[in-house]
Formats: sequence, C-alpha cells, structure tokens
Amino acid sequence: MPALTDPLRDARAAVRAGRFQDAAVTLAELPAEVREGAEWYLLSAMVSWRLGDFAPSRREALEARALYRERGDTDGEMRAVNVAAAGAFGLGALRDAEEEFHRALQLARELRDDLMVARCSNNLGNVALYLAEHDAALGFYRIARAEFERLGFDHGVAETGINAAITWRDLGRHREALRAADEALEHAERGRAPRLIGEALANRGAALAALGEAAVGRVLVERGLALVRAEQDRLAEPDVLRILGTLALAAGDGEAALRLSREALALAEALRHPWTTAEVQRDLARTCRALGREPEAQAAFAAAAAAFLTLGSVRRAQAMAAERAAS
Amino acid sequence: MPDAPVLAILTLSGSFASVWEDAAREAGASLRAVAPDDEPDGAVALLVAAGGEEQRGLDLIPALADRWAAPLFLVGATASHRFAVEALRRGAADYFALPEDADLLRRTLTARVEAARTRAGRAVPDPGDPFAELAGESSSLRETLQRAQRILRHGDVTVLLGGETGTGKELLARALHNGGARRAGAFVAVNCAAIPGQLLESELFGHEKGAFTDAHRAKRGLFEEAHGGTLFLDEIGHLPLALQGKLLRALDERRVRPVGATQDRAVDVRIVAATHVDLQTAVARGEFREDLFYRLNVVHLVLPPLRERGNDVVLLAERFAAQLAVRYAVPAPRITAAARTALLAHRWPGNVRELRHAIERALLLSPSGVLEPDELMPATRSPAAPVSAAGGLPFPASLDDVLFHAARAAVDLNDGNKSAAARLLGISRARLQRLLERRGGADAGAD
Repeated sequence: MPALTDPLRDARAAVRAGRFQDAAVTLAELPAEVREGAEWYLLSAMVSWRLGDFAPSRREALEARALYRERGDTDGEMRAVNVAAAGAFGLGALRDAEEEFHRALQLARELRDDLMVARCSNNLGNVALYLAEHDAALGFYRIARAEFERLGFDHGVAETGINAAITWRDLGRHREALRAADEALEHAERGRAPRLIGEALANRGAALAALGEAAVGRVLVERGLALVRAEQDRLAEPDVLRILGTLALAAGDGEAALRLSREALALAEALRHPWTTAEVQRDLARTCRALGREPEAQAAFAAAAAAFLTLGSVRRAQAMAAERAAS
Repeated sequence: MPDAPVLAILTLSGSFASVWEDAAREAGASLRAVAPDDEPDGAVALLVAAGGEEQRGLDLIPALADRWAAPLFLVGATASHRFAVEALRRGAADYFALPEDADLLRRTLTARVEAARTRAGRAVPDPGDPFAELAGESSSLRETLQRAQRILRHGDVTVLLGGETGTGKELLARALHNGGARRAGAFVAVNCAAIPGQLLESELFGHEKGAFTDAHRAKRGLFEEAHGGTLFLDEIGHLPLALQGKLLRALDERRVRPVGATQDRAVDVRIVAATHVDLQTAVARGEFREDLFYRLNVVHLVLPPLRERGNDVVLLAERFAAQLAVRYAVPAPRITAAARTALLAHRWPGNVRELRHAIERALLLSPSGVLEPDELMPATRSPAAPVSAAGGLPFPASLDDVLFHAARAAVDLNDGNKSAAARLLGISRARLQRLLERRGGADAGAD
C-alpha cells in the first residue's frame, strides 16, 4: 500500500523554517484540488499574514473556516477563526478582530487546547492595547504568559513579554517595562528566536533609556535593529527604527530623530499596517514639533489621529487631536 | 487508560467515613486504607484524627509529610484557626474540622483527584534543579534555599516570601512551583501593586457579563486560570483591605465568586505570596488583616539582600559577566581586584537585579575585556556608607540592625556553623537564633 503523504508537507516545512516567501510559492504551485481544501486555505492564510498581506490572509482564513464548519471540524474552525481575527487585526478592524479572537478563545477552552488559549489571550491583549485599554491588555498577557510557560513554549512567553513591555512603556511605567522585556529576552534566547531577541533588546533599550541609561539603551536598540533587519522582519523594523528615533530626540539629536522617523514611516506605509503607521506618525509629529517644524508636526498629528481612528482606537485618536491642538 | 487515582486513608480514630467514601465515588477514585509505616503512592492522603486524637495526628504529620509523596490532609473535630495553622506549618496540605467542613472536604478531595488525573495525562518535564537560578554560596542564601527545598515535599503549603526588591522573590516562587507536585499546572503571577484597586477584584476572581460598565463579556479570574497550579501574589501588602476578606475566604473555602455572579466556583490553587514590606507592622497599623496574615504566613522564607551575602556579589558578577558576554558576543571580561573590592563595598539597594544591570552596562559601554571599578559603578553610585565585614551596615543603624549584622557576620565567618558562631560571640546558640530571626528570617517550624 502506498504511503499517504501530506501534499502540504513542503509548504509546512518552509513555514516552520520561517521561509514564508518560499512557502507562498510552494502553495501556489500545488494542484487545484489541493488548493480547494480547508487545510490549504488555512496554511495560505497564515503565510499571507506573515508576509503582511492581511486582506488575502483574512479572505483565505474565512474560506477555511467555512469549509471546516461544513465538515463539523471544530478544531479546524477554531484555528481558522484565530487567523481570520489576526487578519482583521492587521487590517485595523479591531472590533471584528476582538469578536473573532473571543470566539476562538471560547472554542479553544471547549477543546481544552491550551496553546490556542494562550495565543488567543495574547492576541486579545494586543487588541486591548490598540484600543488603549491597558489594564485589560495586561490581564490577557498575564494569562497568555502563564499558559505559554506551562507548555514550555518559550517563543510565546517571549512574545507576550514584549507585548507587556510595550504596554507598560505606553503607560510610562518603565521599571515594569524593563522587567517584562528582561523576561522576554531570556525566553527568546532560550527559544533561539533571533527575531524575538531583536524586539526584546529594542524594548529593553527603550525602557533603560527612559530610566536614565541613555547610552546603554541606544546600544541595545541598535543591536535589536540589526537583528530584526537580518531576520527581514518587516513588521518589527519600522517599530524599532521609531524607538531609535525617540531615543535620538531625547539625546538632543533632532536631525537623527527626524531621519529615523521618516525612514520608519516609509517602511510602515509600504507595509500598509495602520497601527505601525499611526505610531510612527505620532512620534514624527513630536519630533517635528521639538525641532520647531510646526506645519509638519500638525500634518503628522492629523495623520496619526486618522490612522488611530481607522483602527477604531477612539481614545488614541482623541489624544492625538488634543496633542495637535496643544501647539 | 491510566488507573483510577488512589485516595489513601490513615485512620487514627473517628467516624465520618461516608464523607471520603462519597468523595472517592464522585471523583472515580479508589480508597485504600494505609498504616503509618506505609508509603502510599496515591493522589491524596487523608490522616483522620477526630475524637481526641488530634494531637497525635499533629505529631505524626512531619514524618508522614516528609515520606509520603501525596498531599496530606488532616481531619479532626477541633474547629480552631490556630490548630489549622499549626497543621499546615507541620506539613499538612490542609486541615478540615468535621462535621462543619464536610462539604469543603468532599469538594477538595474531588478537585485534587481530578487534578491528579489531569496531571497524569500530561507529560511533565523534569524540572532539574528548580533553584539553579538562585545562585550563591553565602550561608544566608543557602539556609533559605535549604528550607525551600524541604517545603517542596510539603506540596501545597502556603508560602509568604520576604526580601527587598531585586532579591529574587519571583524566581523563588517559580522554583517552588517548578520543583513541586503542581508543576504541570500553570504558574500565574500577579503584582497586586501594579493593578488599580477597583480592577483587582475582577482580575483575581473574574466577572460576569454586565457586572459593571465595561464588562461586555464574562471573564475568568486568575484564581480559575491557576486552577491545578500556583497563584503568585506579589506585593501582597498592597492588596486593598476590602479585597483581603475575599482573598481569605477564597483561601479558606477554596471557592471564588466572580464579580456579578450568584454562584461560587471551586478552585484548586496553591498560593505563594510575596512582600517587601513588614506585614506584621501593617497588621499593627490596621492596614492588613491579621487573620489573612496568619493564613498566608504558614511558611515564611526571606531572601537576604545582596549586601548581606558576602562574597556572593563577586560570584554573581562573574556569572553575569560570562552569561552576558555570550549574549552580546564579546570576550568574557576579567573583573579586577579593585573592581571586586568596589563590588563588595557597594550597598546594592536594587540587589541582584541592580548588579546584573551594572555588569551589562560595563560590558556594553567599555568592551575592553577588563572590568574596573569606574566601569562598574558609575550609575550605581549610592551614598558611600561605612561597610562592615558583614557586607554593609547602614549608618546610623538601629541596635537591632547592629545585633543582626553581628550575628550574620559570625555565621558567615564560621561557614554557616551556628554553634561556632554563638561561641565566637559569647552567647548561647538559642540567643543567636533569636537574633537572626528578629529580622524575619525564619518560619515557625515548617522544617
């Protein structure tokens, strides 16, 4: 009897190795009958998401969800809902993302899928952070971290730690941010995940700089930037550049801050990622204002407010409008 | 399919057998009668000592808790809080006074058997040495870790951790979890000082949909998330008074009620709490409930500050330098003799965390391969205080501080031998022990 082989095996291997472009090519070359299956749609949705193609990712995930539901596969449905939600998140449809992550979390609890519970909790934390609901975000990260840790999933602990560090920094609680980034870095190293090491280093650097360790902070963020560039992490690079820009501004190097912020903005706009764009515009606006470039600052504040509003993050949009008016 | 978990029963006296027979039936566990010399490998062990045998039961606990792998519950007829705390201190996982606690005992046994069944179905990694991250050779640290090691055998005992910021309280809490029987469960950590008081109740106990304005959905609390595992309550001294009563109830009854709910939910959670403040003082000021303090303070472990750990500061500095050199791909630096002296002289108010940051800074900003005092200390400059052999006695110091430091220095000088230390100081060993305990370095007999 011939051995049964998984037609998606090569694509899965490419995904596991982080070679998402290769995975996309492999998936596209598969026979039509394979490309009509739920598994193909789900894997393709995951790959599209990793490549920053959020709209196709969401379409494919919703297709996968419908196919899984049709055949009564709750586990498949749960995974498809999670990716669909992530697609909505990438597109800035926060309320859709929140609704779908909650649905996936509910299914994960019913199925006792602890890893998915952790992932959905982490994602719900991200939605709450975007909506400026910091306490809720930290609550979800707390749950996600505990589950990831119990499962021995270092990547997940690191990712959750980075998210918690970003949340604490947003609150101006830099000691807590430093602790969260410290833990994230340890787990990222344990999990041998250079992309996460880069992000954790950048967040540690930001926290240390805010605590008065500007020189060490800058060195760490620069190391983080080098790592995320080497990993070709399109999502993380503009964010780390933005952090480096804020450090340059704090150190009194306005021109470097402006250059870094503009570089970050070009990357964020190419990525069409509303959250990153909004944050970069906000920091660019502050830099321009500090340098006395008020018209540019006004435009950037307005762009940031619009981007936050697109995300459904009314609180953040209002804060931008207020900051713009405070010239 | 795995065998049904075993409920091991050692009966000294008393009746109420229907309670655990019902519990075993409900949980699908088999009952097994055991003798004191047996070593049952069950999910739960019950020591029944009602009807005037309570004291004998208490006396048996330390030996049984040391030898038996299963968590040991004492059952008696004395409804006394003090008696219950004494049972926990001697190593019991809990105490139940019958007939009042019959329902609670039934629920607890059912939950334990279910948790044991869940754990049996999970692959639990070997934790290795759970205390490996708490490195050091000073007698003060070793004492704390040795006592922590003994606590691992006591399974579910509630632990209160003390120590200054940066001494490693969360690391120790994790070690107690990872080295204990609950390691297959979740370790959920929450800093009570980091969450606004009005949100903490919902965070700990959960809420129902519509319980308050922003409660668009029902949410599980951290007690439920930690079911079968450990809930680490950091900075417990910041818990608002109104919540302290609810926490006490959750600990006593092992049930929580989410905000807006009408029914309780059973939880099986081990509590490890930590504080850097003196809770007894908080009790005296009326800021912390006395009954909750005693419920948490079953075993009290204190992590010593770095300045009282003698040469550990150098040992740790070398360890961090080696680790961080790998992280940042630079040659492992040499710490000069002058730098060692500076490390020993500094007071390290931020303790181990501060030391690690100091080494990291030096490594990143002066990657010369040699760590000198100027490179290590620039950002950790704290007022230079006179330094004693014990590693930094503040000046002016209280008499308690002076006596404690003298006692600690004598113990360090004698490699932890307290009898020799007492002879050196010309006092009795008991007096030395009292001096060491005055600063909160001991529990009331868990070991």
